[in-house]
Amino acid sequence: MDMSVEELAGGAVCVALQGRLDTVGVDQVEARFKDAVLGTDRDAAVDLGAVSFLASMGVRLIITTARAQKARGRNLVLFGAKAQVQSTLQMVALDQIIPVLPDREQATARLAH
Amino acid sequence: MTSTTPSLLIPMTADIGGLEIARLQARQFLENNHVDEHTVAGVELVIEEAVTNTLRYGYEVTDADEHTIELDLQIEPAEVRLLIVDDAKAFDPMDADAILLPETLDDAQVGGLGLLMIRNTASSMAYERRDGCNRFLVTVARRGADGEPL
Repeated sequence: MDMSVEELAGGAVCVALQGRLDTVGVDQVEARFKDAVLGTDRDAAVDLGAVSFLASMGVRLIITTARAQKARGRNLVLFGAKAQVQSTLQMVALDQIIPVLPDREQATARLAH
Repeated sequence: MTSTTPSLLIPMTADIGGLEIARLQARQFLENNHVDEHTVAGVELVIEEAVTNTLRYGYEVTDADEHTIELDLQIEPAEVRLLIVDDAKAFDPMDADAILLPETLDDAQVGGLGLLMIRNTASSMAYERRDGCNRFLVTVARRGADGEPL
């Protein structure tokens, strides 16, 4: 599991995850992911386009991070999920409680409002 | 004429490293036998969630390395059967309460998600406790080239 961090137009942080977001993957990336999102006082977008598999540990990581963002008045959105990951997001109703957008442009626009 | 059902028994150490090795062995076996990617991912998800639950809650922290877990895979024409056998504390996944899907971020539960995902992936499940072991049988329906169940 790997990740990269960049800035979206508008100033939000964008964290792109690559690989399997399962128990092993979360172990590898959790501290860096939380630091990238929560270590700066900005809205955040998570690029799931290169995530090939999402397990409950990954869902847990997203929920706890989004909750911490919300607690300090910041937003977190997800975008770019491929069909299999999108299916998992829907299975656990994550798409009902966190904005899930198709691409970077719509994520950027959502955070600009 | 007789036909054989491809099968593979995977003994794994009861830790995260063992889980990763077993998952990769299962994937390779299924791919070698031309099981579709959707089903392979479903089987991987069941292995991930069921074994992670066992590792997190089934053993005392100090004795996890003294145990093994076995995964028994069988490829049937219309489904993959996965039997997970472990000597952890008795736990019937069929008895566990289903979690409620959240309506808000504050409502979202982070426990029980794995069981929810197994139930949504499996086409059938069965559990028994025998000889001091949990035996959890899960079937995942195979799909054809059109993505529909065989």
